[in-house]
Amino acid sequence: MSRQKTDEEIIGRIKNGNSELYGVIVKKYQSLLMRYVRRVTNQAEEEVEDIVQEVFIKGYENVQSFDQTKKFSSWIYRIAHNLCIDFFRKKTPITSVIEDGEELFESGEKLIEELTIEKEKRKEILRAVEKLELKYREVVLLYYFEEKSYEEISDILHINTSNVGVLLLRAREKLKKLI
Amino acid sequence: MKKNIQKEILDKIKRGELKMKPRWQFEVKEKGKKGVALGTLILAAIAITTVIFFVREYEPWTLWELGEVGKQIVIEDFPYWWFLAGATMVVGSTAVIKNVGDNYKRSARDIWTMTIITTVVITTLVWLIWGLF
Repeated sequence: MSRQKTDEEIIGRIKNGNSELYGVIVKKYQSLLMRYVRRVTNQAEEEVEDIVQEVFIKGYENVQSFDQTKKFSSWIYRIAHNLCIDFFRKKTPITSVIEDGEELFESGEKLIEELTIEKEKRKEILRAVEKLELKYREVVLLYYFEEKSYEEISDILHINTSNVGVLLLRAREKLKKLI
Repeated sequence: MKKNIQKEILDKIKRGELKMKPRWQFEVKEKGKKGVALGTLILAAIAITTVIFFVREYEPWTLWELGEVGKQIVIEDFPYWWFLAGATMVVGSTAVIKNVGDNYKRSARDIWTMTIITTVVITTLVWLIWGLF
């Protein structure tokens, strides 16, 4: 029985010239990155698609710099993070496009528990997360909604793990005040 | 209309519009950062050596005891620019080192300790090389 290849193994083959396999990576990460970029930027679908396409373009161009001993998902999320920052440098948007909180909370139950609020207040949390400063919003989205570990968030945001904890703590306090 | 990102990316690769950057570019960039950080620390060490040399040669505390004239000599001759350049280069080098490899995982205190120890070691070497001891 053949073992399913890890992302890192696939990337290793892409680095050795098997470019077609990049399609597998795009397919796997497209929806994850669309969700993440949408939540971070609060932009309309077309804008989000453009950013995600740029993520994959940058990912392919820079694939030789990827260290296969590390997690590929953290590496590609790092590119998405950088492009979101670039996006905010060019534009000053933040007009909410999220109308329904259900999709966001498919993976955000942990936040509801930690904030000890009723499930009916989901939409309020959603609005509060949107109002957070970018550095807090990203760390909340990565930890509670993308379910990344402290170590992975550290690799994505390039901050040390204790800073991740500090940012999360402050973000939770801010959320409690906002709700 | 929804974009087919996967198809667009693969088409770009096939047409040769999207290419991987060669590995050496990244290696040069990473080594370049380390080189810049080390070079800046060497320059900082030279600047610090100049300040220490001034202090040793002028012995400002003895001049200070001479009253107004002595104080004026110290204030006018002190190598402010060297002092400022040394401090700026240590800070600049620390900022570069923080962005090298996995150093973002280290705390600010660890990075500063590393930079200061390296500066002290390089300064000592500069003193040894120039025979200032």
